[in-house]
Amino acid sequence: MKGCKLALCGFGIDGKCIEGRGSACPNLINTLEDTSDEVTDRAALASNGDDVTEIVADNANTGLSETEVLHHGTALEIIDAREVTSRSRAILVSIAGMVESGKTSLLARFHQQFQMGSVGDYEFAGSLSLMRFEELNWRATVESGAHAPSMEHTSRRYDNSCLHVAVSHKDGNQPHIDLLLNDISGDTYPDAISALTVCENLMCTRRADHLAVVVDGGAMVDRTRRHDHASKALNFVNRLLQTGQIGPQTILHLIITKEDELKAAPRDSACHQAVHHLEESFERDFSHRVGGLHKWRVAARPMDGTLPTVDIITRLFSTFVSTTQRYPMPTPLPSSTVYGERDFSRYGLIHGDSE
Amino acid sequence: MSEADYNLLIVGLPDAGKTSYIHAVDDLLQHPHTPDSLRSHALAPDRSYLERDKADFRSGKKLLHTERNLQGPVPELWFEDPSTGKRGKLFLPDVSGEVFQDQWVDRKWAKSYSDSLQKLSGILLFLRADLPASNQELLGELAALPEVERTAKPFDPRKASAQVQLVDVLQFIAEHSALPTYPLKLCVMISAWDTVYHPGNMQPKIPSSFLAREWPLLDQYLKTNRRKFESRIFGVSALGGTPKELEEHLGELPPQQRVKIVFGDIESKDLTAPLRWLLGV
Repeated sequence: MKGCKLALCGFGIDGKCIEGRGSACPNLINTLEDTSDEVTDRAALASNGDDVTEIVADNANTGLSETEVLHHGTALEIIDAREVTSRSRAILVSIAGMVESGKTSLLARFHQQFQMGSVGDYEFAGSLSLMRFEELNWRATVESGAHAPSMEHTSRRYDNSCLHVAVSHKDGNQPHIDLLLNDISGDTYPDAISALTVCENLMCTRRADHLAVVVDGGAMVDRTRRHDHASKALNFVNRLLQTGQIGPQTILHLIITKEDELKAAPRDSACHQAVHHLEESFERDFSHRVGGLHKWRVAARPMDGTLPTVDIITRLFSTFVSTTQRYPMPTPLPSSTVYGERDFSRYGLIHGDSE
Repeated sequence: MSEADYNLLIVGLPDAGKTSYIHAVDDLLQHPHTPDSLRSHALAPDRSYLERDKADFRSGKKLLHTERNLQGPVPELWFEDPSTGKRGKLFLPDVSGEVFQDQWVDRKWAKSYSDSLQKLSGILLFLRADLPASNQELLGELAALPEVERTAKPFDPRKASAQVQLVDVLQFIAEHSALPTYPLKLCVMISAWDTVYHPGNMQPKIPSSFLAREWPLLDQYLKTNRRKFESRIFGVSALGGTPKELEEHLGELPPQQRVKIVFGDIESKDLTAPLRWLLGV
C-alpha cells in the first residue's frame, strides 16, 4: 500500500494526491502495513487513472466472488480530468475565494437545480461525481437533521481535482459537453497570494476556460472584513495574470455571493459602494487582459427565508457551458448528423510552462 | 415454432415494487385478459421462488423484503404470443434493491452480475410514485427556522437522493459493461401508480409527464442518453391499491383484475405491455 511523504497529502487515506499527480507522484512511498481497507484500495485504483473496472478480489464478503471496481463518484484527479478533456469537448471552470465565501454552495446549487429540471437550455447528461455532489449537499438537507444549511469545508487536497457533470443542449443536436468544476480551497486562496509557488501549483487554472473569483457578500457587509476580501480578490487575479496561469484564453467572473445579506444593508451604505468599487476595479484592471469579464451577484442558499437566485445561477451556468476562448464553440448540427463523435481532443492539463 | 430465452434485468431501490410486479405478471400470463394477450403455455420446472410468496400476493398482503443474497433458481416464466405462435422463456431475476444500493455505496459489483448484463434483452427500472425523488433542501422558510439543538448526522450514501442513486446505477450499466446492443431498451415502471389518483393529488397523470416533473434528473439522463437507452415510461399498480384499500374492498377481486398499467393516456390491465415492447413480441 502506498502513502505520501508530504504531511498534508491524504493519499494514504483516500487515494487523493494533493498535487493531483495520482499514482505517478514522486512523493509516494510504500507504507509498512498493507491493509485490506477496501475504500483505500478503491480510491487508489481510481486515482491511478487506469482502467477502473479492474477486477479485485472481494475480500469484504465471501472471499470467493470476484468484483469489478466502478467509477468512484468523487472529484476527478487531474489524470482522470485529462482523460475527459481529451475524449470530448470539455469546459474547465476554476472557482476560488475565501473560506466560507459560498463556492461550494454554488457548486451544490448546480447539482440541486438539475435535480429539479434542466438548467437553462442544458439538460443533465451524466456525472462521474454524483457521490461527491450528494455529500457536499448533505448538510443542507432535511434528512441530515441539521437545523440550518451548511457546507463542508473544502480541503486543500481538492485544489487540483474537478467535479464532473456532462450536459446536453436541449436541441439535442450537439454532442455532450463535459464540465469540470475545480473547487480551490479557501485555505489555499490567501496562500496563493502570499506565495508564488502555491499559486503555480494550482494546475487546473492553466487549463481553465473560466476563472470564477467568489467574494463573500456577507463579508462585504462587515466593515472589518470587506477591505481585505476585496483586496484579496484583486490580488489573486493579479497573481494568476503575473504567472501566466490565466490570460486572454480565460474568461473571468467576479461572483458576489450571499446577495441576501448584501440586500439587507441600506442601499446607500458603504458596503454597496465597496462592492460597486470592486466591480469597477475588475472592469478597469482586468477586462483588457482576459478573454472576457462577467460580474454576478447571487444567493445560492439564502438564510433569510427567500429562495435562491435561480435565474441568475442558471445564466451563470449557461455562460460557463456555452463560452470559451480556447476553441470555437460548435454551431448546432443538422439532426441527421450522428452526434457523440469525437470533435475535439486537445488541451490536456499540463503543469508548468510547457503548455 | 420459434422459442427463445429472454433475460431481463429488474432495477430499483428497496421496496420499489419489483417483486409484486413479477408475481402480477405471472398471474396475468396464467389468466390472460384478451385472446391476443401474452399467455403462459406451460409452467417452468422450478417455480419454488414464485410459489413461496404467491398466497400472500394474491391475498393483497405486503410481500416480504427480498433477500440480498437470494439463493435458488431465477423466476422463469414461459410465455406464448397467440397471434404469432412465438414462444419464449422469460428470466426475471428478483434482485434485492439493496444490491443496487450496494453498488452505489461500495462502487463495485460482482463480476458474475457484470457478465449477466451481456445477455440482457432489456431493463425494467422501478421507482415509486408515492416517494420523493430527492432529499428535501433546507431552503426558504426551512432555512430560516429558529435555531434548535440539533446536530447534523454524517453523510450516509444510502440516504442520498433516490434519483441520483438510480442514475448512477444506470451509468454503471452503460459505462462498465459490454451490453449486447445499443441502445438497450428500458422501461421505467412507476409503481404504486394508483396513488396519483388519490383525492387532492396534483401530480401528472401521464407517466412520462410524471417522470419529467417528479424525477427530473433521471428523466433528463434518459433523454440525453438515447444512444445508450431507448426508454418508455409506464405507470403500474401491481397490487391495485394501498394496503388499506385492499383490506377494505379491493381484496375481493382476483389479482389480475386489480392490476392497472398506464402508458401515455391509455389505461389497461395488461401488465405484459412493457414486456412485449422490450422483447419485440
